[in-house]
Amino acid sequence: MEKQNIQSRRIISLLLSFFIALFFGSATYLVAGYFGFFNESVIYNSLESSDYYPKALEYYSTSTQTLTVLYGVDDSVLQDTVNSVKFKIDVDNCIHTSFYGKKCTIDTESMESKISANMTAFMVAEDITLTTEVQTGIDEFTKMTLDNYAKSVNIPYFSYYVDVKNKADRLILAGSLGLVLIGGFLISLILGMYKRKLKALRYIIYSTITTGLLCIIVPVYLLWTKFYERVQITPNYVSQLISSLIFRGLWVFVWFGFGWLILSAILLYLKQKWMQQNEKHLESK
Amino acid sequence: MAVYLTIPLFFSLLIYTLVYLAIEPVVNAGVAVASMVIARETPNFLEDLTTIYQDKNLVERSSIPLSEVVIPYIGTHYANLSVERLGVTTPVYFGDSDRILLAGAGQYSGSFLPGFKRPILISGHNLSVFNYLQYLTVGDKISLKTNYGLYVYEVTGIAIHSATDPAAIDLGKQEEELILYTCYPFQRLSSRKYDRWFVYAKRISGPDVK
Repeated sequence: MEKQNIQSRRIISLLLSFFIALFFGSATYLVAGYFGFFNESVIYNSLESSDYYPKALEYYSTSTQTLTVLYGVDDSVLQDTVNSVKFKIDVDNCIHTSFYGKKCTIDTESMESKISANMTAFMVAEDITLTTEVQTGIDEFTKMTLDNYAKSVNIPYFSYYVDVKNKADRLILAGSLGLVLIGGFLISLILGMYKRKLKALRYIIYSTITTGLLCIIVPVYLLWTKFYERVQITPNYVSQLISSLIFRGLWVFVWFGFGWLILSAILLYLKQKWMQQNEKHLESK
Repeated sequence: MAVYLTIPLFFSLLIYTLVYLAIEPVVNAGVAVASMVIARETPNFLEDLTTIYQDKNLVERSSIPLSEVVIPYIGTHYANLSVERLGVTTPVYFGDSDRILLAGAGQYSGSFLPGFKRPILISGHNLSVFNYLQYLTVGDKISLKTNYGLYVYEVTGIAIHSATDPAAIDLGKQEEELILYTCYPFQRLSSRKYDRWFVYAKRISGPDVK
């Protein structure tokens, strides 16, 4: 009878252990998803590592150069209007404001006055008379250049990302808390089933190792396939940004997985140590 | 000790399977959406323009085999367009992105290469490489020199169309028509250009690609 009880307790413990792993694994996926993909600092790191700023600035320069050709003006009209420092500051500001659901507004006043001054100098040098049509052309050129700049400092598709993040935030917070609480409750059930808590620890360790493996296997597989390097979205620098974001995000899952494995190793070590102490204690009696 | 590996591995596989079965429709939809932006191979992000064009003397032939034609990649300078009467020569690139049009004239990649008896559509900026289109007249000769043949076209018509007028271009035509176009009007700093200046020319010499 007692043997049968032990057998049933073992099966129930294994089942509980399985569910603890499922809940802790899901909670870790949610938390790692937050830190890996929906964290503002991750965006800035990905922007840096994918060389986003110089590439986006180059893209802006090429498109404004096209405008100068279309309007028949010299490149000199854009001289000293933008530099890499201002561009980076404006991109970062835009990310920060958009990240908190606000509309990004760029101060283009200084750019506008610089273009105007450069244009006047160009017209004097080229002996172009200012007619109504020419003025309209200048106004259009300036407006298009400034619009182009405002567009360039905004990360394409970022508003969709923020939408997803805002929805995911609530899910992550509520979901991870709920899952951890359920997992904790299940742990207390396992502990309650055993008089000698060391025996229960074995099943908790199964759960923590499983959680670690869950967080490592699929992300490592995805990192190994490098599917993110094949992302193809125009402009190209956006592809590279997304690729870098996915790469960094997947590594966060892996680090969380290692965290669980380290915790498992510590628990295993403590279990062995306490078992040895118990044995010594029994021997001394 | 092995039990600490086998049981968690078994649990992991079981959880992965269960989760996959539970969210399979979402996974499938996600994979379908992702496949729209994930290429089969790692894309080449280098956007440098290249050239395959060699300005060499060509032997006159009535036809050439297709195997001799190197199909250019986007951004490749593969031909030179010239108008002897005006003394102008323009490099022609395959593709018509902003970057290409800053370097020369660009061939729309959905049109055909010379010698294929189908329309060729080439554009350029009106205040730079294609400024001379305004000086072309009916009867002028335009040469398009590639590595595999020298093609000469005769201007048959010049027209101004709205940029969105579908009647301006017929790429389904079964004859080799060279269509050059640029923005109109040609003045500097004029307001936004909604019209296009078209030059149509028919082929009068050059080898057929067979």
